[in-house]
Amino acid sequence: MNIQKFLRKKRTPRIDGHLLLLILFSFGCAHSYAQKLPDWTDEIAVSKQGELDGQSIFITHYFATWCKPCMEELPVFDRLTKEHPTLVVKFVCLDLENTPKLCRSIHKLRLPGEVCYLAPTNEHITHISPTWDGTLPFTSIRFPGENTSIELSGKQTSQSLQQLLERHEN
Amino acid sequence: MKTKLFLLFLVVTMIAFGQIPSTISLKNVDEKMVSFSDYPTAKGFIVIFTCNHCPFAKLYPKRLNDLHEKYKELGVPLIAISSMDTISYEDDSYLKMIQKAKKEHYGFPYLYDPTQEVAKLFHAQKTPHAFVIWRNGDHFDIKYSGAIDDNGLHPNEVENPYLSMAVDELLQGKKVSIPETMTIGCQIYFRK
Repeated sequence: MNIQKFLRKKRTPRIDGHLLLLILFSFGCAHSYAQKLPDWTDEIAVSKQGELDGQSIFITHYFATWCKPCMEELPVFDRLTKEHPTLVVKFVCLDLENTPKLCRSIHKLRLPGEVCYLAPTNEHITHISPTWDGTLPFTSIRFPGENTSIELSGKQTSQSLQQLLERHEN
Repeated sequence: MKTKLFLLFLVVTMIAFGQIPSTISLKNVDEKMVSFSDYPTAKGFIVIFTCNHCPFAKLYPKRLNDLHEKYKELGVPLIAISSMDTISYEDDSYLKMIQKAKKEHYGFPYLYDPTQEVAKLFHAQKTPHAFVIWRNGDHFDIKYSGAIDDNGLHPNEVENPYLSMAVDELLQGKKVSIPETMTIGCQIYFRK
C-alpha cells in the first residue's frame, strides 16, 4: 500500500466522524438518543429575567405533553413571537419524567424558544408561584419596567394574549 | 313545584357550606347504582375524582386499592368517580372504565358521572383530586380536599400522605390539621 492510498483510507473516516459530530451538535436531541431536556433553574423564572433587560417582554410558559389543552395552545406562541419582535418565550415542560424520548418529541414541535424540564411536584409549583394552583398550561408574563408578572392559568387564545401584549405596547 | 324549589334551595345551600347529600347516586362499573346511603355504618368516605387517561391518575391505582383496604375496615371506604368529558377523552368512556377497573383490580366502586354534576358539587378540579367527607346527620361534610400525597412519581419517597393523615385525624376525633392541599393532575373541563 503506498502512502497516498494509506492516507486516503485513514482520512475518510476522520472526516466522516467530524461531520457526524457536527450534525449531532446542530440537531440536539433529535439525533442524540441519550440527550434530555436541560433542567429548570431559577434563572428561567420570569421575575429574574425581567431584571436583565429593559426592553423585552418575557414569557415563561409551563406545559406538559400529556396535557391536551397545553398541546393545543402551543402553536399560539409561534405567531406571537413572529408578530412581537421584543418577545422572548421560554418553555418549561412538566412531564412526569425527563427522558431522551421526551426531548426528541419536544424538538419536533420546533417551539420558538428555549425549553427546559421541571418535575411536576407540589414543591416546585409553589416555588414558581405561590398563587399557582397547579393548573396547566400556566403562563407568566413580565413586561419591561414592571415589578410584577401577569399570571394566566389555563389555556389562552391567540387573541387574548395578542390583546394583552398590544395593550402594554401602546 | 314548591317542593322541587325547596329541594333545589336545600341542595344549593348545602353545597355552599361544603355539604354533600347522602342521596347522590351514580352508576358503577358493574352497572349497579351506588349511593353513599348504601353504606349506613360508614363514618365517612374517601372520594377520589380520577380517570383513565391522565398520566397522574395512572400513578395511583395501587395506592387507591391500599387506601380502600386499610380504611374500609375502619368505616371509611373509598369511592372513585370519573367526571371527565368523554367527548374530549375517549379513553374515559364508561366502557373503558369497566376495562380499567378490571385491569387494575379495583376493590372499590368506580362510578361514572356523565353529567359532571357530582364533580361540580365537590368543586373537583383535577384528576386525581381527593376528598374526605364525614357523616353529619343526614349529609356529609367535606373535611379534606386536595392531593392524595406529596409524591405521585415515587410512592416510596412520600413525606406527607395528606389524605391518610386527614382520615387518621378524623378517626381519632381530631380536627384535620391540613384541610386543603394543591392538586397536580389533568384538569376536569366542564362542558358548557
